[in-house]
This record gives sequence, C-alpha cells and structure tokens, in this order.
Amino acid sequence: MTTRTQHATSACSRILRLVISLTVSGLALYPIPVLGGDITAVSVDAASRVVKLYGAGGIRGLESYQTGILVSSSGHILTVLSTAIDSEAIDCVLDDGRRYTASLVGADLHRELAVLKIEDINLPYFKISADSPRQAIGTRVLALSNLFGVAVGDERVSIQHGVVAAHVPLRARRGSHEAAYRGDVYILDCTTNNPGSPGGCLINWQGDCIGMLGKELRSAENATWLSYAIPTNELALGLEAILSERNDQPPVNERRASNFDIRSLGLELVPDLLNLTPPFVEAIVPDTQAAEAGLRTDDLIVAVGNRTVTSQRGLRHELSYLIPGDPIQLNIIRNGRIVLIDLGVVPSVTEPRGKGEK
Amino acid sequence: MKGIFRRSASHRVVLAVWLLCTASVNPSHGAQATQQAPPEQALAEQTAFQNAINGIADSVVRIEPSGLSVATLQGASEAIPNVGPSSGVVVGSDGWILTTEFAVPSDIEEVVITLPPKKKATETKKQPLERLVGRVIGRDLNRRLVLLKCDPKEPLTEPQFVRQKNVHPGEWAIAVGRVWNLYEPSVAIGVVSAVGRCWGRAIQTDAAISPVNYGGPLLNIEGHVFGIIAPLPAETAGMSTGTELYDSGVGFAIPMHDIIPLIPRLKKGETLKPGLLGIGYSTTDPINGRPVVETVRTGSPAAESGLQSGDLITEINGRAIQRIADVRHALTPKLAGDALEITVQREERTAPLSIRTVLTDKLPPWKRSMLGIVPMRQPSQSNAKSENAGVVINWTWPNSPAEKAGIQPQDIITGAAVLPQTNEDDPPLRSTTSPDQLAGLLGGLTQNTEVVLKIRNSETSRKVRVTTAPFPEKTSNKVPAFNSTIEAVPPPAIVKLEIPEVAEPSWALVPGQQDGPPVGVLVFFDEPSGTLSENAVTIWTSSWREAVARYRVALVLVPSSDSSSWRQADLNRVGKTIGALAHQCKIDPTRIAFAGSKAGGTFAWLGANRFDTIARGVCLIDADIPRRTRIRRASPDRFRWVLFGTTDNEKMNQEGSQQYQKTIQRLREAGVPVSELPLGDETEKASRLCQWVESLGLL
Repeated sequence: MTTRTQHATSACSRILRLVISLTVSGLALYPIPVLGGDITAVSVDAASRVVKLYGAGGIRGLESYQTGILVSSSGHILTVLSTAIDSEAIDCVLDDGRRYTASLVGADLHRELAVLKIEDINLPYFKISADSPRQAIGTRVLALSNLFGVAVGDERVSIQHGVVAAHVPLRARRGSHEAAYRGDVYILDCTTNNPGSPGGCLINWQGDCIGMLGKELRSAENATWLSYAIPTNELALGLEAILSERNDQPPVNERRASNFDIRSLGLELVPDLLNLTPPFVEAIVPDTQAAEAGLRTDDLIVAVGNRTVTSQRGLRHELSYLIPGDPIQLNIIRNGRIVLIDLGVVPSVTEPRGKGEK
Repeated sequence: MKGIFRRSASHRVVLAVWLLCTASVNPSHGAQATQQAPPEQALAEQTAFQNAINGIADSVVRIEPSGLSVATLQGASEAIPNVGPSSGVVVGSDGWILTTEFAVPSDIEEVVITLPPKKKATETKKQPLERLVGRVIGRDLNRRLVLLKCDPKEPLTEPQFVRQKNVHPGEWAIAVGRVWNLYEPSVAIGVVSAVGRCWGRAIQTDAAISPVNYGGPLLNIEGHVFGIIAPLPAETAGMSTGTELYDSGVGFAIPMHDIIPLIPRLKKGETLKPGLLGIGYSTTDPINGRPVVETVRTGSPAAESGLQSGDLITEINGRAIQRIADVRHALTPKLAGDALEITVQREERTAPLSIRTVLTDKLPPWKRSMLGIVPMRQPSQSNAKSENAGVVINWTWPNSPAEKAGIQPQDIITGAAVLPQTNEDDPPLRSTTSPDQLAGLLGGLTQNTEVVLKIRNSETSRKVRVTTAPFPEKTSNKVPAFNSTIEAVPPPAIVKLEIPEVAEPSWALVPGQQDGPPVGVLVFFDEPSGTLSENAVTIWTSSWREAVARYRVALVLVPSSDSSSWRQADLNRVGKTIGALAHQCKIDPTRIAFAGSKAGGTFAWLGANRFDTIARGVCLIDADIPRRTRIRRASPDRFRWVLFGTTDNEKMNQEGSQQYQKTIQRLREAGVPVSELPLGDETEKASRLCQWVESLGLL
C-alpha cells in the first residue's frame, strides 16, 4: 500500500515537474538574458512565423522539403516555387508542432515564388510590404530555414547569422540552366542556401523580415555557390500578383534579349576564329555612326556601358540586351589608354548583317 | 518521413498545456512582428562594419583582364582561363594598385581597372564609371601579389594601413571586394582565426573568402587595412592553386606589415622571388624531424657559406629552432637577396657556429652524381641502431670512381667529408654509421666534387679521395647475386597480403630464406585483370622464382579493383600492402621500386608519385608516363631512378618508341636519372629487374 502511494506520488510529481519545466521553457522564450540578448527573442519570435514544408521530390538530388513564411493571419504561406511543393498534399509544420495540409494557391513564374494556404485563424505572420526599405551592405542578418531538414517534428527551424554582403541582380545557374529570376537579391556572407532552406526567412536584428532565401544556385559570373535572398519589396510584388491572380510583369531589373547587331553602326570586328577572340575593331565604314563617334581600326573594346567584355562572344551577348533608344557607350583601349566612345543610341530599326548571329 | 509527425496522445496533452503557457506569456503571438531592440553592442558593431565599408569604398577597385589578355592566357594554357573579375586595393594615390596573381596570372601584363564611383552609389546609378589600363609593374612570387600602375585623372584615395605587427586572433576581420557590384563594395564578416599561417606568410580568417574578394582588403573593426586577401595554398594534400578552400571557413590574407616594406621594391619593377638556401633533410616529417642538415647542394648559398651535412640548426636570425617546421617558418617568408644568420651545432662538444648567408632565387642546376659504392642491405632506419660503426660495401659499380680508387666489397666506410675547393687539407671527417647518413652527405653533390672517405677493412684503415661522377645512364648486368646456387636456400614462397579494410588480397613472392639480409621490393602492376587467385599468381610468378631467390627481391602483385582498368582507388591499397609485407619479412627501404607493363606501367608511374618517399625506382615496360604530366625537377632529398623497359618479343612500334624517347629527354633535362633496358624473355626480364632493384642502393 505504502509502496503504491509512493509510486503514485512520484509519478504525479514527475508529471508536475515536466509541466513546470515546459512552462519554464515556454517562459524562457521571452526575454532570455544570454549573450544574444534580445536577438534570441527576435529570432524565436520570427521562427513562429516560419514553417517547414514537406512535399514531393526526393529523387535525383531534388529535395522533398523546404521552408515557407506565414504572410497572413489566415494561413497564407509564401515560399519558393520548386518540385518539393509540386504535390497534391503538402505537409506544413509550425514551430510549435501544429501540423496542417497546405494547398497551392498560385505561383509567380518570373520570381519563382508560390503561395500556399493552410486553414486556420490568428496565426502569427510577417507583413510583406512593397515599401520595405533596402538593407545597407554590412547589415547583420539572421536566416531561419529548414536547412538539411535537421529540424524534425516540432523542432524550430535552424538559425544562421551573417551580414548582407552585396545587393545585385541575380545572374545564376542551376546546372546549365539560367535561373528564371533576374531581379535584385541580397548576397549573404554565410552559407545559407542549402537543401531545405529555399523559402527560408531572412530577418535583420530588429526582427523585420527583409527577404526570403532562394534556391541552391551557382553564380553565372564566377561559378561560386550563391547564398542569396529575394528582398521583401520584390516578394510583395510577387505576392500581390499571385493573390490577385494576374500574370505579373517581369521584375524591373530583368533584361530581355533583342537582336541589336553593332555592325549596323558601321564597324567590322576581326574574324571571330578563336573560342575567345578579343573584340578588336577591324574596319570602320566611312560616314557611319561608328566613324562619327571616333572609333578606329585596332581599337580593343573592353566594356559596354558598365559591363566588361573580354571576347567577341561576350560583346555580342551584352549588346543583345540593348533595345532601341538605349545609349551605346563603349570603353576601348587605344595606345595603352582607355577611351570612352559614345555611339549615340540604338536606332529604332536594326538590320542584322552577315551571318554568325543567332 | 511522416512517422516523425506521429505523436502519442499524452504528448498532445502536454503540448496543449505548454501552448496555454506560452500564449499567456506572449500576448503578441498571432500578430505582426514586434519591434525588439537589439543589444546596443550588436548595433554598435553593425555601425562599425558599415563605417568600415563606407570608409574603404573609395580605395577598392575592380580588376579584369582585357580581351587581349584573355586570348593570350588561352593560347598559353589551352584551357579557358579564369576570366572572372577580381579586386584590388589602392596603395598609392597616383595610381598604384595592389592585387593578387588570381587577377593577374603570370602570362598577362595588362588589365582593366574600374575605379569606384565618384559620388555615392544611388545618385550615379547610370553614370559610366572610369576605367583605366593597369600595367603590371612588380610581382612578389612568394606571396602571390602583383603591383599595378594606372594613370588616374584625379588622385586615388589611399586607405589607412595597419603598419605595425599588430593583428590578433579573435579580433574582427572585415573582408571587402568589388566583384558583385561596381557601385558599392561587397563585404564578409568574420574574425582573425590565426596569424603566421602558410609558413609565416598569412593571416587566417573565417570571413567568407572566395574569388569575389581576392585582392580586396581585410579590415579591422576601425576600418584600417591589415591585409590583402589572397588565394594562398594551405599545403594540404592536393591543394595547389589556393582557391580550393572557398566556402570552408578558411581564408588567407597577406599582412600589410609584411607588404609595406616591399612596396618600394615592387614600384621599381622588381620581381621578388622566394629565397632559397639549398639544404635537405633526412626526414620528410616537418613536425617531429630534427633540423639536421642532410644534403647541401653544390654551389648553393648553404654550400658557399660553409653549412655541412650533419649540422644541427639551432637558430635562424635570432629565432630558436627545434623542428624542421621551425626552419620552414623562418625561411618561407624570406626573399631572394635576404640575409640570414644561421646558428648550427656541428660537433657535440664545440661551441655553436654562426653562419651568415644570402638567399638566392635560383639554385644551380643539379643532377644526381655517384661515387659508385653500393652498400649492404640494411633494414629500415628504426631497427638500424647497429653496433658496427660504418657503411659496409656490398659491391662497386663497374668503372666507377669507387672501383678505380680500389674500394672493395666488405670494406667499411667509417667517415666522410666533402673537400672544399679552396682547401688542400683534409677537412674534419663526419663519422658515417649508416648508408642513410652517407647518402645525405653525398646527396647534394654535383659531379666532379672531391670527397674524402675513411675506409677500414680487416687489415688496414686508410683515407681515399674519390671524385663524384655522373649517375649512370645504363643499368649494370654485373650485379652480384646473394645466392649463386639457388638450390642451397629454401625456395621462394607465395604469401597472401591481407589488408583489413580491403576485400581483395594482394600477393607476394618472397625469398624463402628468412634469416638472410633484408629484401628489396618490386611492386608490379600488370595489365589490369581484377581479382588474383593463388593459382594465377603461382603461374604468373613461375618465371620470377629464380631471380627472387638470387637477388633477394620480394615481388608484390596488387589486384585491380576493376577487371579492365586501373583506378586511382587501387593506389590507396599499395602503401598498406607494403606495410603488410613488412610484417612478413625485413625490407630494405632504399630498394623499393614500382614497375608495370603497358597500362600498368603508366599506373606504376602514378603510384611512384603518390608514394614519393617510398619508391626509389619506377620501371615502365612498353609504356609511357601519362600525357601532360608535369615532371618535377630532380632534388637531392628525393631519389628516383626511372627505367624504360622494352620487351623483345613485342616490338614497340615506331610511334610509341618516339613517344617515350621524348619523355626520356624531358626527364634528363629535369636532372632525373633515367635508363633504357631491353628485357628479353620472361626469365631474363625477372632477372634484370631484380638486379636493378639491388642497384637502387647505389651511392
């Protein structure tokens, strides 16, 4: 009898202790007097607005899981458009372990964004605003994501810290494919973009959502792996487009190819025989735009506007983005000095001459 | 996967309690993000980072090759070179820019420099930026730095430099570049992880270092430049370009306090080269190895200042030296032309000697020479603490200086010294107790160097002077056998060499006589055939039995993991196989060779390079080295005899023969001993190769 009572008491006290310890840990979420100070609170608060998503995929290196950001109290979730959410039923897990089945609301193919929806009310969320200010280089940031899927069950997403390293248009590749999104991104100095992290949330130390982590991509310019996030103002445009069910315009910074051929201005380049033939001027046709601007035979073109070119192929690539009315400014090397040549603007009708252009 | 979401009912109850608790504590849950104030220090640091970036912005430029440079590079290397942009730092307001070899490889002399915008970024988004031609003026090949000159219209902004040696692990390190965006610099933040890395040349940081900031500045929290970010090799296996470490948490920068004194020299157009001394050690272990000079290269600063084989280095420029690593730390940052004061302990009882020397940029070309003595077999060094104080001669090379000087088998060399060219008196002799010691003393010598040897035999003790001769171009067919009649000794045995983590065993044919002298080792790679059965090994080795017994050479056969080709992974087991063999019989470490036929021959070459310190000889039978292989110059502390064997029954076609003749020429130009050997039938081939293994002991 005595023994049983003792048992009962100890079992009771164990449960009590468990409840107390959980309560304490719940209490401890706010404010924790440790090294990070209020940063701990900021990140915990943000984590409650970040969800883990589990869907299709899981083959050939395509992950079946990623991350999303709650953007309304009624359960709208913004994430990256990927194979992981290309699924009938997407599992969505909140930081407290609440689990939902999410459905796809719509997608923005330009920005590679998607909106999902779970059915609930009074959910914590981030307001995604189109006037979210641009964060300065060197701003300290925290990235919250389900990277490598290490946060199983009701565990919180992982937190990484770093700074905004750069703010540039994305020029990236996945394998041999160019990434669809070519708008501005924040480049981060920490390795944030890993399996599972797409759709993760980037916050500053004030707790504002300043961007969303993108996919795993390599830089098209220097082949290094990119850690980047799409800024909130761009997210807002994508979100609005998806919710209003309209096909949005491409991001402002996206450049479209045209067929402008510089030879139409009256200059010939040396024959393009090598893999990387230098863009030397071979000849100038008298009384043309090129002749008037002062271009000469043997000038070596090194830049179009602010973009450096080191080969004829590169030159054609840069010029192909110019549209009628765009200024054509070349930097050329002549006698060991760089000279700026102003070729005026791209004429409204261009007539590609000769072959070699695609 | 979904199993992880399943939760027991009791867990749900607890969860509900917990949710209630948290809800009551956090009324803001479910609303918009609350504005939390970050700690003051965190904000102060963020402000400091941004001030540092703004402060340096005008001093960081972008560097790109011009189209002409790229075409030049492409012509030089066949492959498409790195054409990505890099960064540079202003080190003189009249147009001096410092960057790294990454932006300006040695083949190019001209780059395009883009200056920072004159006004703040947002105002000038559409403004064209000023571009200038940058000419290469000076290079520091030791630190991979390049000084460029351009002619700006207005003076450039020189940043504040940390000129004193005042950088400490743990302090903030702010890495800046101008690759992502022309209008504003990019940044990565970390701390100084260590100083004095890369043998005393670099600061290490955990800030993200990659091609996006090579050539850029590394700043302290005050925004002062304490280093130039550079892709230095960490000298870990396989890393040579220095770019392999990006994304790893390890990055390097050259400290400004080392660079600033060099800038005037670079401005004068000097090419600064690593300073060379010309010594070698008996061991390749820099951490545990005592800094005892083994080889002294003829004509090097070491030889000319009087450093001698056997000297123990105790101090360099006032810095105490205990290990070979300490010597490398002291020497690597030094440039050709730098003076060095080395303190050495020569004899145990005498006072330390102080030696002054000036480092050189180029050691005189060196080819291995010989006296013509072949010592008796010796087991590996650890067991060699023999009582007999001297090197016992096994045989002398036909027509060699040693033979002409009358040195006989069984003679014992008890001391030796190199005769200084100016001095007619015999110098003090260094006692020679092991073949290794004698090899070290003779190792750095070029031909026509006079050496004094003290020789003892059963009757007399005498001194002889012998002059070194070129290393032979032909193998000898007069190698004495250990056993003239093989019937007198137990027959060779086939031994299975099992390595715990490798499924397929290797095999060896080892001499039967267990208590004889240590054995030589010939690792043979035949054409790949996959798993080897004992039966197949018995048949394959039947023509080798006599040679193995006569010359005491263990023949090792390693199976290929693939039945049609040799794989890189097969190399991994070779070292372990030799280790396993050493458990079966005593091995002479100076007589280990790799050989192979056709594809196996090329593979043997790769194996010998991989096990550089073990393989003293490599034999390619009807095979050539891999195409485009870089041939390392011969060096005194690395013995390597290359043999090209041809089988008579299968005539090498003309083309193939010409191919390897070119290789022979390349190897000879690099100073590597190389011989050609017709091998005859299988029995003759076995005999010649085993004789050659014995010859690897030649000094």
